[in-house]
Amino acid sequence: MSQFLARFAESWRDATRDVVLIVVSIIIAFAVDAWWEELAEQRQEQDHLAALLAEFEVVRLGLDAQLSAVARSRGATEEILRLTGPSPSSVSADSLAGLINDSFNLGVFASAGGALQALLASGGLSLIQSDSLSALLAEWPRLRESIAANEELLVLGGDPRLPCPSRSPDIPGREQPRLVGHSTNPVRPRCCHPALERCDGVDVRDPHHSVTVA
Amino acid sequence: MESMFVTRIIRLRLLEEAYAAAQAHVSKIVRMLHTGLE
Repeated sequence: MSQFLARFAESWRDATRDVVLIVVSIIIAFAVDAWWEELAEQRQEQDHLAALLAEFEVVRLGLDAQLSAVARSRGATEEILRLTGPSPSSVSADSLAGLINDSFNLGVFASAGGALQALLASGGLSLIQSDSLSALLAEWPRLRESIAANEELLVLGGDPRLPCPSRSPDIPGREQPRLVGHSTNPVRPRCCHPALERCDGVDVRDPHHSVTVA
Repeated sequence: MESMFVTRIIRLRLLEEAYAAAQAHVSKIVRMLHTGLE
């Protein structure tokens, strides 16, 4: 009887040991899997960060160039305005041509945005661990849209009293200019871009405001 | 003619502000990306 009990206890011990071993093995396998997955996600995040860094370095250079160009254009326009002022001074045709060239020869900001677009489209923004960086990246398309709207207004809507420019079929997906408010002058409706928060001092986010055009 | 240039100057200033805001934003992004890659 005592031998039977001893054998039973021994086999019970063996079985318990086997079960514990199996459970521990499974837990280790899960831990290794999770660690491996985390490592892969970290690698993915690093790849995305590297691609975004390359992209935004180019964007920064592009913005630097545009800022210089727009400052030059503004300076030239102010000079032309001064020349047309109350007491206009004489200017040579070459100088005037140079000023007009500087004033109107302004390119638009071109931002490829491939890496960020791919990241946003794939939902990969969640891979980025820094919440503040994710927020900044998510905010960037709105700023880019604001630049595009301002460029569009400058190029197409130079005079706010002119009707809205027509749609731009060559810029897919971009919000189009639209009439805002109710102009008191139907011949010269005011045109603003929906991406702009304010246009000529008018809050264009409010669809019910009334616009008075002289 | 004069008002056209005044309008253009205003629009150029708005564009300049938009570029400057974008540049500050992008600088922050680049700084954080550098930190994330370290």
